[in-house]
Amino acid sequence: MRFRQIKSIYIREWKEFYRDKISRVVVFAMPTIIMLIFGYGLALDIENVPMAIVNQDKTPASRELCYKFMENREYFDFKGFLPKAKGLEHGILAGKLRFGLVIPPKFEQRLKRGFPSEVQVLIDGSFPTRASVSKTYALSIINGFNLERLSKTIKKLPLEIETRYWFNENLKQRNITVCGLIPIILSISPTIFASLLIVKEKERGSIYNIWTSAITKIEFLLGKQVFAVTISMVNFFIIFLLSILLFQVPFKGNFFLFLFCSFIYILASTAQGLLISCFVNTQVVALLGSLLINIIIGFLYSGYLVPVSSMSKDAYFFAHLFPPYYGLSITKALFLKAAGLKIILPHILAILIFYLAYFGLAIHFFKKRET
Amino acid sequence: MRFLSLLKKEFLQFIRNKGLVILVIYFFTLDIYLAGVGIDLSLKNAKFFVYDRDMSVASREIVSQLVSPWFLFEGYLQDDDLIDTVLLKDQAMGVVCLPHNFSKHLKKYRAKIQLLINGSEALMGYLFSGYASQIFINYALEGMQKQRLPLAEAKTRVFFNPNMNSRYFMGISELLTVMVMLVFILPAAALVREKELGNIEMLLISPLRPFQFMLAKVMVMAGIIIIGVILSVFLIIKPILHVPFCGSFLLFLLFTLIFVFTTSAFGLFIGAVSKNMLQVSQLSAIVLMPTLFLSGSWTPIEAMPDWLRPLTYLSPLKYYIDASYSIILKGVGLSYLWPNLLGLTFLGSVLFILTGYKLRRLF
Repeated sequence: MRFRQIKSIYIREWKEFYRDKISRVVVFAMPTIIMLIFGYGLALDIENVPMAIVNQDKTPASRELCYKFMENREYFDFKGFLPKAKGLEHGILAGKLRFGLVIPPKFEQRLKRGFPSEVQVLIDGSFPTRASVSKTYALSIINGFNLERLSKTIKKLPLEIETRYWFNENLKQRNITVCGLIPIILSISPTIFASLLIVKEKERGSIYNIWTSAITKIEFLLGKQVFAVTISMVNFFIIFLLSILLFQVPFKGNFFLFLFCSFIYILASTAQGLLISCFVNTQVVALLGSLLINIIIGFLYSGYLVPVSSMSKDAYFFAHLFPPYYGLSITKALFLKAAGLKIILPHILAILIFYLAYFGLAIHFFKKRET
Repeated sequence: MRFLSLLKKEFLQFIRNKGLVILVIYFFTLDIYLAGVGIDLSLKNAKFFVYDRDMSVASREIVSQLVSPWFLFEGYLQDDDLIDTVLLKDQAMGVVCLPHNFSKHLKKYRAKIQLLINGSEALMGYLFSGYASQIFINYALEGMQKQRLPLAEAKTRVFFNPNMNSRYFMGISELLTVMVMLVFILPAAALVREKELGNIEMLLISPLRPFQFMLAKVMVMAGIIIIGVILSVFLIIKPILHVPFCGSFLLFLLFTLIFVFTTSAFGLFIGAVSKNMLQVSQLSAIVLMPTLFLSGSWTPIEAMPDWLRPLTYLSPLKYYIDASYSIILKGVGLSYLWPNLLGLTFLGSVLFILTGYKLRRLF
């Protein structure tokens, strides 16, 4: 392995990159824009659910229950009372309401006589997560109402439940959506970037220069990779700074450890890109292929939306076959839990193995001749 | 005739790129399957440990109330430090702590249960604590008195997706995402490829009108995507994910046709602006993400920040997605959906004309 050869590939890429005015900007703009959009936008905090109430009872008890829902500005966005349950259904069908409460006549009367009394809760199920969370909100509000009434009339509940959220005391979803984006972006953007590096030469024909030159396969691939890693590390700093400065996510762990882990992670994603690039013959396939692999796995099988531990057996296994799961675990451990090296060491080793495997395969599959 | 041979050329160019054909087929079938099957956004098998310092009948009974399919009991912890470890290593969603004398307090005064939740999984953490508290409170209420108490009871009715099955949602939203991605990237890549290979010169000197050139590309790409949509609806969405297709398939197809046709013109616009594939890849991601996001396919519009909400009306995808969800899940007809049709057609035509203008300057 000769350092000079690697350097010349590196400089060649830099020159091409520098001369391309648009790419020079968009390569850094893309991760930034993804970060901004998802950071501000991907609201997994479920709030402002538009709701309306049909109160057919109009007694103190039913009004009290209504107030309980109306004063809960955090979760529900109270739109008004409706005269009939039909109106609620219509609102949900038209997409204007997502939640409705119907209090039937004789609600209070039944309670006073000592019978259970039913209220109807209507939920729009087209976003299942939001539906199940708003159902939980509603049940806990109704529970609160019941407990308050019971404590007045009969006696107190003999049970007290204290809930504490570790690592994220206020259960701020945004902290997690933002810091979780770092490994996802670092699996998508470096892979796309690296996946175009070899195939673009194939498509243009300049690969013949490489075939006929004295450079070895490893030197060629390393030169390309070092370049991709340089660009991606800049992107890492951009999105890391955005998440702690703009989104104010507290970073509790050791920064240098995180830097080191991200470096290894970027090595793995760029090697994956190079591997894709060795296989395909056109850039559009390389681009779609890298998007395909990384978007689904990054968002769905990494633990970003659903914890990997509660996935079905197949999905659990599948999640372990790609780096994003390990990257996300490290990111969460360092950002939120201030974990030490001992906890994350297995994950680091796993990513390192991915890197070696991807790079080894890339060397194996890159041919210095027509295939 | 000239136009027909251009159509043929575009089609052949697509078919001969074997890798691309395989990828597109994969996108419309397996990819949607993976997204729909693997992920369940509701609380399922949430693992928990119990730190029980009482070890009485009552304490065991209350823990046994947390059952599958929502919860999964992993075992008892013996000391304090282990709580820290299991939560740090993500081995559990939460730990239930029961104090000394739990059963005694439960009979006499107030017993305290502590729920320690792994806050690094915010959404599931919330659901975990919500479900568990619910279950514990009901248990305590039942224990209080034998007869039924005068309680307000909620009877829930969930519209369109009664079991809150996230397969439907994930399957449909993945189909839409895949579609939008291809709608942007395929035409853009087809155009840039001509530029990179130098073919574009040949087309420029040929007696073709820019509009014909654009129409041929758009028609072929739109055709491919529509075939993909039909494939995935009949191979994956209906038979495997069991999404109930309530509305009319033809109406859905009409919306898809208008959407794909007009938006793929915008893909050409990206192609016309870019000089190489690197630019296409980055630019299409930059355009793709906001379009997808503003459409409300991932998060509903009411969950967005106030200043962002008016902007959603600028995303043609919004009208399309609203309409598709309504047709597929709600079975709504055209009488509800004509504003969407209008909005989609209008925004689409604007994009189409804009692209035509840009391409004319290229020629």
